[in-house]
Amino acid sequence: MSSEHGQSEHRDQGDNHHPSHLAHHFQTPAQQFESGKLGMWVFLATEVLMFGGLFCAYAVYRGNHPGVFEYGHGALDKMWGATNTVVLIASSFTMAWAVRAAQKGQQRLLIGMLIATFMGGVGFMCIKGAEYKAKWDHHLFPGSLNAFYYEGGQPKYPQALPHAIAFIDGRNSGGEAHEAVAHKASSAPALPPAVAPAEAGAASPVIVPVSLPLPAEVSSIRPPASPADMGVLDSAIDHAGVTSTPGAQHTRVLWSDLSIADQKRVHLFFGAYFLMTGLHGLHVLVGMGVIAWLIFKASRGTFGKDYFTPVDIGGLYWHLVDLIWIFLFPLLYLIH
Amino acid sequence: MNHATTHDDSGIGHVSPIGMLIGVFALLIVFTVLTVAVTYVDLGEANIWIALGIAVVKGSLVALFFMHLLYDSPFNGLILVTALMFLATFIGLALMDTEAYQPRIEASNQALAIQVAQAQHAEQAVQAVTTAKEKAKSAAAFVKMTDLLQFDPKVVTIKAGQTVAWYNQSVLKHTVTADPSKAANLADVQLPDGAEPFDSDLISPKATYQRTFSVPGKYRYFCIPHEATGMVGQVVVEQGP
Repeated sequence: MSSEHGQSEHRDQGDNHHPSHLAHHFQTPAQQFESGKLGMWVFLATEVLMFGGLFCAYAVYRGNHPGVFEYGHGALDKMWGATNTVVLIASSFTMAWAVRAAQKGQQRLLIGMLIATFMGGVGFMCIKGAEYKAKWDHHLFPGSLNAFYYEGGQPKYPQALPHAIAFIDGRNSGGEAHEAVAHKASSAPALPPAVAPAEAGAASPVIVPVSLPLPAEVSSIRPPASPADMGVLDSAIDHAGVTSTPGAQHTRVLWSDLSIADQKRVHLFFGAYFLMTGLHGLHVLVGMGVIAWLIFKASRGTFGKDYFTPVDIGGLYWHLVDLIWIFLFPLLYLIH
Repeated sequence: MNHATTHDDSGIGHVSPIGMLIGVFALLIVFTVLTVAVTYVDLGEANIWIALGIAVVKGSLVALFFMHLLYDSPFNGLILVTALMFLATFIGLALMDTEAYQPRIEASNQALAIQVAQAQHAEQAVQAVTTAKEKAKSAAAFVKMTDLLQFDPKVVTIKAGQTVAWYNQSVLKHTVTADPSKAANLADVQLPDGAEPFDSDLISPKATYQRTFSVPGKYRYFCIPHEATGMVGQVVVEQGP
């Protein structure tokens, strides 16, 4: 009762109107704005922690199996990743400008900037879609659908595996070699048929051990690396006699450079890739929905100097999506 | 709460100057180009930390300027920092665990590598015997010379005019010899009447020796280097059809 009394007193003493956008439990638009923003930041903190779980899984897998990540990331095109980073940064910039326009009451600029931001989201999702398509063309699906998935020590997709290997080996050894390796793989499959011919007995098909190119460590087993030694892969590469040739852009990690154990774990990289970019992509879509709603509201003149909280808070969400991508990009695309 | 304002805004929140927004945008692009450029230089371990460092700088720019944290109530920033501290603790503890497991992972990797290598070796050996058998298709009998210094099988039976193939599957050299003049113990040699003595000379690993028998009877033969250890075999040639 007393607070209600106080508020009405305030209303009487201060502004002679209580704006329609000001909820009755706030005294001033500024207080409402600050409260809304605080709530948004608490939500963003939970978002950071949700993505944090995936970042942690990434850190553990990469810490345990660095070779898997160095090899698997060869399937990604870092120029597309960089392009998408620029697209998202640009849309973050237009979003920040949209907030400024709303604060200054520039209605047309606000709508223009929100539309530009929305288009940034469209561009990002289109590039992401093209990237996913490129993976799926090589049977690089998430989880147990991935070409590199092993089940009971055997490749689950013996037909798709040699082509996926040729694809990544080709990319990791530089563009020119791609065709040659791919050709080799298709003309002479690295894998024999999983089922032995008829002489093994017609009653029950016998699974024959698959002979893939053996890693270097089979011929000479390395001494165990000390726990502190994170450069395991470097020594493996030295072992295989593979050194980066002058002008080589990548540390050349080929399938045969991976330990046998790591060869069976390459699907882990794609699990991390699809989960992290997938959850992020979902956030981009949600952010685009929020921006579409803001465009609709802005076109009806809802926002002005006194009331732009939804634009600001929607912007915070969009910036967070950008911020997470800023970390996803180097972790997934720029593995050295 | 803001009260006095000299700007054309309502005094709610911070209005970012357009120059600042453009400046931050330009810096973010520069850092993006930089982080891609650095991957073309091999700095070993440092690459990941430089990439993450640049990401932290870019993220800070977004949070401080685009997200207004620099001008906001410090409490908002505190919420973000707290979340990041929780995250750092979470990932840090998980990585300590990961590091502790590393030697076990290495050991299991190597055990698997050895196991697969052995399986591969065994498979190759079986494959080689199959190939040798395939090549010696015309032979009526197939005898393996083993690392255990044995002819396997010890006795084979064929018809006159048929061929026996000996395949050396061991890592040692062997011979197939039925020549009394080369035997240390004459009991190791037996030839039917009218049969010529024979000697294969040294048969290298993976090599095959073939001989056709026309005279019926019992042949005892031995391996010159391993006669003393009992590497002796027998071919029984029956009357032809």
